[in-house]
Amino acid sequence: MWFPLLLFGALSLLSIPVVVWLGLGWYNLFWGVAGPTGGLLTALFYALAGRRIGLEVPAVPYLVALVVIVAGAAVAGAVGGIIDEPRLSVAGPPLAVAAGLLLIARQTRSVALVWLAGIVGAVDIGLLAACSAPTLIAVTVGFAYGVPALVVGLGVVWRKRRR
Amino acid sequence: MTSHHPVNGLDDVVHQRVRLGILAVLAESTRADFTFLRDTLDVTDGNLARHLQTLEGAGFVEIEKRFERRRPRTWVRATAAGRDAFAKEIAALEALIRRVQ
Repeated sequence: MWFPLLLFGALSLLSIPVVVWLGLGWYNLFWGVAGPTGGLLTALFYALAGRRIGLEVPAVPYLVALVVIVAGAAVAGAVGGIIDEPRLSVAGPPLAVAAGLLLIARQTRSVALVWLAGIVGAVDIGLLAACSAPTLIAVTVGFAYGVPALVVGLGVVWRKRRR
Repeated sequence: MTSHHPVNGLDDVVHQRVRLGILAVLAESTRADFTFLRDTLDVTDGNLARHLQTLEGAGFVEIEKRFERRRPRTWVRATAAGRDAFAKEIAALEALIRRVQ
């Protein structure tokens, strides 16, 4: 579980300078590449880890979560562009990520992932309702997901090393 | 009445602790290796091997022995019959719990 947390946590924090310095277009491009690539790396990580520890699990639930994240983010971005609502383009993908995290949490029975998905979803919906600046939404969601994900991910690594 | 008692739905091959544990692990996975099962179920090599033989004889698991990086490795996967037997066992246990609670 630590790998997707650290990977997507780092990517979320990395997306903040992208949107601040390069703008929303580059931000969307960043996630368009980083999201699917990160998802595939995560699937590869679980496959290799399963083989190493001696327990191979079905890949389908993780692929479904990946499809939900990628398709949800793509639809939100496209709809936001069509109706000229950049806030939706920025706030929609994190909601898709939260939905995907919930699917992975169910599969891995991870309470931490449920909390993380809840935090991301709540912050995102709150910002969508209250904030008019898309860049501010992107930055806040980047922090709201990135910091807890890195903290939880590092905590999991620390606990594994202590055992 | 006794013929409909939930305990009659329990399968002696599946119900034993280690064998139930093996099928429980395999029900949630594609396959598991011998070492993982041994450590997870806290049994000895010989004990696990004996129970795997029983399950294999009943057609509930398939055992694949191979060399990986020049080391022997034994993978175990549940057959369709094994998954079905495990599901029936859980259903029987649920029925028993409902009856006695």
